[in-house]
This record gives sequence, C-alpha cells and structure tokens, in this order.
Amino acid sequence: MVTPRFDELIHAPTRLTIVSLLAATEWAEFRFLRDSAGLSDSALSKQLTTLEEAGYVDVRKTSVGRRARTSARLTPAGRLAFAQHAAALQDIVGMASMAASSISQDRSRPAG
Amino acid sequence: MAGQFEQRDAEQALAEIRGRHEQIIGTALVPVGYWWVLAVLMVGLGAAVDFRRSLPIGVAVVLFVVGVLAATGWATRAAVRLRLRNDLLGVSGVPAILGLVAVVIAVALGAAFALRAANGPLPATIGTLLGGLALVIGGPILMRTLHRIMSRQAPGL
Repeated sequence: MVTPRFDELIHAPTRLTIVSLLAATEWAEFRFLRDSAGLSDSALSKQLTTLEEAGYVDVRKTSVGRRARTSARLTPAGRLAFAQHAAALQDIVGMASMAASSISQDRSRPAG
Repeated sequence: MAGQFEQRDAEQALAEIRGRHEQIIGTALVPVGYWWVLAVLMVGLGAAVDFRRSLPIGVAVVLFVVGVLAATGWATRAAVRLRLRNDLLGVSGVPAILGLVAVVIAVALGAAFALRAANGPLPATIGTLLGGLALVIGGPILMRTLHRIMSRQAPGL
C-alpha cells in the first residue's frame, strides 16, 4: 500500500509525461523520450537534470560503436515518488466525487 | 471552485499517466501483419520440405530464418529504444505467449505427422498451413490478451 503524497516536482506537465513514460520501463533512450514527449534536446536535458538532482532519475551515457547513447531510468526513489503522486491524484479525484455525490444527496432531500 | 479545478487537474494528470502507459505498451505489441508474414514463411518452409530435395529445403530454411529475423526486427523496432518493466507481463503474460507457441507447434506437427501416418498428400505443407492459421488467429488474440494484462499493471494506477 502506497502512502499518497502529492509531488509538485513530478506534477509539472512535462515532467509528469517523462516520469509516466519511464515508470512503465526499466529504461528508455533519450531519443525515445524526446520524440514521445515532443520536446527539444535541450528542454528534455533540462527536465532530466531537474529529476536527476531530485534523485528521481538516473541518466546513463554508453557508447554503441562510435555512437554515444543516452538513456534514463527511474531510481527506486523516483518510482516510489511517482506511485505516491499517482495515489494522491486518485485521492483527489475520489474525494471530489464523494463530495459531489453527498451534495447532490443533500439537495434531493426535502427541506425542513 | 478551487476544488473543482484541483479535481479536473488531477483527472487530467491521471489521464496523461494512463495515456503514456498505453504508449509504452504499444511499443511491445506487434501488428497483425507480422503474424501473416510468419504464417506465409512457415507454409513456404513446409512446402519446401514436401519437395524432399535438399536445394529447395536449404533455400527455404535460409529464407525462413532471414524472413523471421527481418519481420521481428521490423515489428519490434520501437521496443529497441526502451526496455519494458520486467513485471509488466505479470504472472499470466509468459504462459500466454508460451501457450500460443505450444498450440501452433502442436497443430502443425500433429497435422503433419497424422497425414504422413495416413499416407496423405503434402503433410508438411498442410501441417504448416494449419499451424499458420493458428498463428494468424492466435497472434492477434495473444496481443489483445497481453495488452489487457499490461494495462492492468499500470504503475501507480
């Protein structure tokens, strides 16, 4: 059971996209993330650096033949933070739905 | 009002997470055409075996191997750029894959050996034809099953 915790760092739209993609993978190539998220090289680098500094992402550079290949993966801390953030989002939606249904029940009750 | 905004924002974020998860799953699933290519290659190999001459069999084996490798490389080209999470297939994903392989082999070999025992015509061709049919029918079913399994394993959802 994951404790819900809203994470401002992950919730930013671009970072949410990157972390969501990485959450379903062991690792993903920089190019794949860039193309999937529709970002420029520099924009993706910036976001990955932010996530790396938070300890959520691990960026690796390997060389395949003459070409350098950059890949990223979520760290265990990053996976936990993402799971907690998703749980917090579900809580928000769930509580809002409950509040809405209790308001509609109150309104449907006869006054007096 | 702020609550409504927060709820809408949270719903959008959850939709984004689900959408990206689906995108990753999509890289692991092969298109329907892949199963047809495999079936045609199988039948070609079976037909060559029925020739009972080494040259057609040798050519068919090479074409089969090259064809399978090329088709698999084409169908899984997107998956080269990432590695899916190991637990995404769950406990039932691998048995589902092995199940299709077992059915195709059982149908193809079973039919071929049965025809051969009964002195039927073209046992290898008919056997691989039936095996190919099982592949063309079972492949897309397997993909739908894997899609369902992997969607259930969405991280954090």
